[in-house]
Amino acid sequence: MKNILIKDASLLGETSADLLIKDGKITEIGKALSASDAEVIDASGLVALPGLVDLHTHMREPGGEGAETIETASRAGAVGGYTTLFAMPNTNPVADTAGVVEQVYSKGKEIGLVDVQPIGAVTKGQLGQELADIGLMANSVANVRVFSDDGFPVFDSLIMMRALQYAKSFDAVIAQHAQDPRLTEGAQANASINAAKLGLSGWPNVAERIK
Amino acid sequence: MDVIRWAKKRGIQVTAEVTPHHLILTDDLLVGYDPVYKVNPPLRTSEDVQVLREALADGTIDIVATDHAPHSAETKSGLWSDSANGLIGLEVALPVVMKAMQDRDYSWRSVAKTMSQNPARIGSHQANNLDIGDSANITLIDPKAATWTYTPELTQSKSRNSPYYGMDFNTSVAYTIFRGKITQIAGEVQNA
Amino acid sequence: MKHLLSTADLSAEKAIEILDTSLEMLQTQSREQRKLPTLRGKTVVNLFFEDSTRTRISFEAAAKRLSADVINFSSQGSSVSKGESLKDTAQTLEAMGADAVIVRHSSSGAAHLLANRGWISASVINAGDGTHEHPTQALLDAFTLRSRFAELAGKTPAGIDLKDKKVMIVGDILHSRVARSNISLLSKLGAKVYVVAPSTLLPIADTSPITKSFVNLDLAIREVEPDAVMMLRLQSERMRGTFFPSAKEFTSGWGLTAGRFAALPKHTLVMHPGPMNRGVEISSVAADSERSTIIEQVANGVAVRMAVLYHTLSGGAK
Repeated sequence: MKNILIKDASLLGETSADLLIKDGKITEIGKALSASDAEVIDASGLVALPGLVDLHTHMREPGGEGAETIETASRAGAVGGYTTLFAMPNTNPVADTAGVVEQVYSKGKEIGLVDVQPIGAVTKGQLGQELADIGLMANSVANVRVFSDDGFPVFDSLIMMRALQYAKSFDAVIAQHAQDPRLTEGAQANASINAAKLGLSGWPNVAERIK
Repeated sequence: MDVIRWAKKRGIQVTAEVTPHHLILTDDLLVGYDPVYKVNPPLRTSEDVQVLREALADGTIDIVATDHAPHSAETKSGLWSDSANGLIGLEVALPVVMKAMQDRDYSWRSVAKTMSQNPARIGSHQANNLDIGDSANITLIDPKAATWTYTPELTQSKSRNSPYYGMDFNTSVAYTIFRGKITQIAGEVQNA
Repeated sequence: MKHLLSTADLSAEKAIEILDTSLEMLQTQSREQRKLPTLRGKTVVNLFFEDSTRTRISFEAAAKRLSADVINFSSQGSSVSKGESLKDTAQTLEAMGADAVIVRHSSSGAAHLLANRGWISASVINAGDGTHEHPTQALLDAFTLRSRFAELAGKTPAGIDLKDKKVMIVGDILHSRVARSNISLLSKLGAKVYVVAPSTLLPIADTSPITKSFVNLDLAIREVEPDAVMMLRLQSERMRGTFFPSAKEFTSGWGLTAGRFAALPKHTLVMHPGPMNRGVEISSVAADSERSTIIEQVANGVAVRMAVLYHTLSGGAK
């Protein structure tokens, strides 16, 4: 791997500095650094940020490769300045077992444009009834630390409480999509004057507030 | 937002995320029934957008997350009621956020927090501070780029359900460096 | 005028022009030879994805009296991909030479989609899309109101609007495309529009262009003293969940019962877009009274649709 020397970047938009990168790590930060073997990036006028991280990407693979793959999503992420993408579990099959998350994780690694971090489903099949293999996913190679049923919010308070308690044992977090499913059945658009005029059934903003 | 502010004040562990599109698009755009604007949660009013911008600027909202949701033309170009929810947002997330927040007090340090450090802390317990010894994950931004227009030709995603085609931006992502390797320069993916 | 998609995008001037053409069309219908050569050689397609015999035959009669060829296409949309099948169907019809497509669909925005997506070059006339709009119904309602008001005033209806007339729309506003089209058209023509519904059937809306909304019909009648009441059909097929406890309770609160009909000012007209649920939103006493315009609305519907076809297919040039 080639070493990289970034010259005159504005770190977080504040102080100007050079950054030397060796073997994939930041090894030096300072003024007027030099390295004979490094590729030099003139970053004067540019702002250096830590690589962007997206907690909410739908990569569609496995099962939805017609719309996106781990590779095309990784490319889109790289273009957008991202270095880590968290992949939502609503694939087919759903990412509710160690097998699926390991497959997604290794594919991301093989492509090598961003870190692909699978998000595990909270419940089996995202059906909201039984807990998914949270522990097995957490302890797998994919090292899953975020669990979510995303578009199918866990509606059963008991399951949700158990999931929150259980996830603690693995230092994991549960992400809940704010939506009350009963209030949004068939809803098409914001419940506003615009939806009323367009004849689209309204999605009351209270549906997010209640959850 | 008031509920989240209240909870944070009380020390309750709660984090809130917003998407770039909810910071810039409003439900006025639904007039032509173009399903590219159909998202979950739905686009809301311009007053709601102002509230979200304010909450992102003052730190009530911790995270910007894209909800990048690719859909094929077959599921995203017909009747509104039949179309899937979602839009693709990874490629221009940062330019969109900077455009939405241009009149707000939203520093690069805040960008780093909301688009890198907070999500990394929550998702993988990493600091992402640009410290010596860290994995070299670095994004170089041109904050005063010559005005450029996002088009389908620039898209790397397999899908084309972006509401941002034709939109002009003044921020661009010049380089992306992932684990010490350049992965992107000025919109071109580097596959070395 | 290339398309007629909604009354929201009609100007008051254009609407009055269409109403005046409708009047001319209506006058030709009392002649012995009712058929006009205006659209000879044109093909009009009735594309109905939702059952509606009344609207379809009204359009069919209108097109035939203008000498157009009429193709009726009724399709129950496939559940798999209605959007694409709409596109494919429309393109097939255009390939068969359709000059105008009259579309009825259960999805809001369907007519808009057909007209603006570049799929077809034919004129598109919206015959009802989901809970969005039903513009020809509103035009025929406006036409009917204008004729009756002019008659009461001993004037000719041509060229006039509905300035300061008080029209009260009652019932399931939330699910009604007829209400949406009428609110926008009648207010544009200068009428004061009032809506009355149980609060679960009133969409979130600011007051403009609605003059005032009520939840209590008796109070509304006393306060407004309307020149016309338009009773909407209860659209049970579009209702999700519970909007009111029972039809009986709805009738007692929001139906035009014999008692309420008697409480109306003596000049108030009674309208209904049909088909009626007699005994639910409207009583027979009201529906069959002399002040009811319900049959007249049907007859006017053909004339108004002739005018709309004329304006869309021959560019409105006289």
